[in-house]
Amino acid sequence: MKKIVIDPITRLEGHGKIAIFLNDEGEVANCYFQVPELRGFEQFCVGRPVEEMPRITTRICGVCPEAHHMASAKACDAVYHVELPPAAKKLRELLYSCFYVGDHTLHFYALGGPDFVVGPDAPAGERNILGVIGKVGLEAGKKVIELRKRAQHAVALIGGKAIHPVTSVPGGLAKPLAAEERDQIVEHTGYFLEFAKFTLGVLENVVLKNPAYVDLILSDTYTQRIYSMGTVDANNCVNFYDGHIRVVDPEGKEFVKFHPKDYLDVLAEHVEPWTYLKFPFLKRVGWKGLVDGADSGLYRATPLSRLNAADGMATPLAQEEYQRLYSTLGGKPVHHTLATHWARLVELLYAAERAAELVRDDEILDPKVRVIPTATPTEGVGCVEAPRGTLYHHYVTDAKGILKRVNLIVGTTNNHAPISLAIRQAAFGLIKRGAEITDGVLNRIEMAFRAFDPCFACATHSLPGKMPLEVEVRDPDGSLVTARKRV
Amino acid sequence: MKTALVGFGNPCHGDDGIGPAAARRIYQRLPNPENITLLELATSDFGVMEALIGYQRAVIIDALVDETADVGTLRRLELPEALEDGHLSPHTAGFGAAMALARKLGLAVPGQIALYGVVIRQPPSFSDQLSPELQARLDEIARAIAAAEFTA
Repeated sequence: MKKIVIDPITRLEGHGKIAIFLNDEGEVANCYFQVPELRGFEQFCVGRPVEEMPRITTRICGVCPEAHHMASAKACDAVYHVELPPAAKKLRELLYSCFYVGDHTLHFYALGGPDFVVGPDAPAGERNILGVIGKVGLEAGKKVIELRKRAQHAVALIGGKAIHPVTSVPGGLAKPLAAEERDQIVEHTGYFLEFAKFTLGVLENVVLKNPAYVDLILSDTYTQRIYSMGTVDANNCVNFYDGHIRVVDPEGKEFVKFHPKDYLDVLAEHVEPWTYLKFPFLKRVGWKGLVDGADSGLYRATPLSRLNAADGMATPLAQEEYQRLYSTLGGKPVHHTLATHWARLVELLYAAERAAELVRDDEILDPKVRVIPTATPTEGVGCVEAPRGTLYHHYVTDAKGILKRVNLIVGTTNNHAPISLAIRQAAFGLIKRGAEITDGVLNRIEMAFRAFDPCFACATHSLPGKMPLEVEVRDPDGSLVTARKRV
Repeated sequence: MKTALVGFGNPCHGDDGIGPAAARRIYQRLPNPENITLLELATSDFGVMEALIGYQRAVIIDALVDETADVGTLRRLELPEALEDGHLSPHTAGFGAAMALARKLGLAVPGQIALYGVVIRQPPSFSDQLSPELQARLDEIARAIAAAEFTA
């Protein structure tokens, strides 16, 4: 048996490895997606005061600290049994919407976009944000930078800091929003909205008008018919900050809708010996392995699944785009993994519209932004939709608020099984007996997981970030036959 | 010259926090900190580039996993290598690509960048403490960088 290793995966936020095993005929025998890092953040938190968690948990990841800040603050609210003042809730959601705008933008232009804008078979050195800017123009690059700057500024105005916000505390926020700060965010949201429309235009022109790309999106190689998870508001519309978790089956029918505090009744975790990361699955359906279909408890928690799990978007322009996505891709639900990129841009538009709505709500200037907790702390679950999937924080404390137990299910953990399934399916579909395994083939396999925007929060940063892609082909006895390295 | 002193890394992940720890130590001992801003950044490479806009000079300290060298070994990394490398790292766009993009777009990123890597081992788990081995060399590391970058 031969073994191909793609390690580490480029453009993945953290270390990961794809190992593809070939049989003697050169066909794929098996494929594994491994996460070699041992985490331990939960244990690190035990023994600390729970109110420190909204600041500590932002250190899990340098890419989506806002998501952890929000989920953690919500878990603290629940631990202390406090109901937020309306202004606090709206300000948190406004901060979160602005964060979403910046995060989804970076994914499209730097991570997911290069595969389409530059092309899946383009030289690896060109498949990056520079390549994207080269195709769509310098002005687009300037817009990306300006958008990110404005999004970070809005986050800093509400959250105190741009990268690791600090103002969400048990019971609300540490500071209200000043009128002049609101005025600045109003201006930013105008830019967000125009930028979101511009980016959807890029998608339209570069991807959707190219029949080869549409065929790629719709191909069986990138299709997994599994359950879809996402947070919905009272009208079953997508919401990033708050609501109930809804899961629909592969046909799109509601399977379960639950309060986040009941997540352990719905989800269970499967363990495999070849990876540290667990595989959450729907308890009631059961773990049937890495297979799709209604009898398999696998679910995805991504921009695409959030759209599938909802009945629509709560803002008008995003709703139009939502309908266009489903009418273009053959109806609801959509199970084509590469369509996640489009779903992400629908969410970008929604985040821009939602931020514009919230910042114009006069209640957002109410100085009452916190209820001081007085109840004895006990246990609480906080949940938000992180850009990469549903994020659960679950804390148990003693009567003094010292953490006794912490459980986190992060967005990418939810998607561990679907990512593994998607990679396996791509490997089986793309590697053929006797055909050369080119850089383009390997990149197309990587595209299967890149659509999920996975994040493993690698802590061992290594500027200047040189992470070549290594491919090894091994004999049945394990000896190296050939190796290739991407730089 | 407006200078950013950047500690890059996660202060909650053991020795990965050497960048922020060393940058803090250097800053505290600067005799003349005017025009020098301490930035402790646990973010993506792209985020680092964004944080550097508006500075003319940057001194960046990061952890570097290298099993072949002793823990605490200080390495001066070559920036041209980073800029010529359009490759994308696991952390979003990659610092080299991000800086190249910034220059292409005419952004006011520093013209002078000094990169330092401090050798660590892969942190086994989360901790807000440096290993005793690295902690023992923190002063030495800070002194060496300060002498090279911040003394007249």
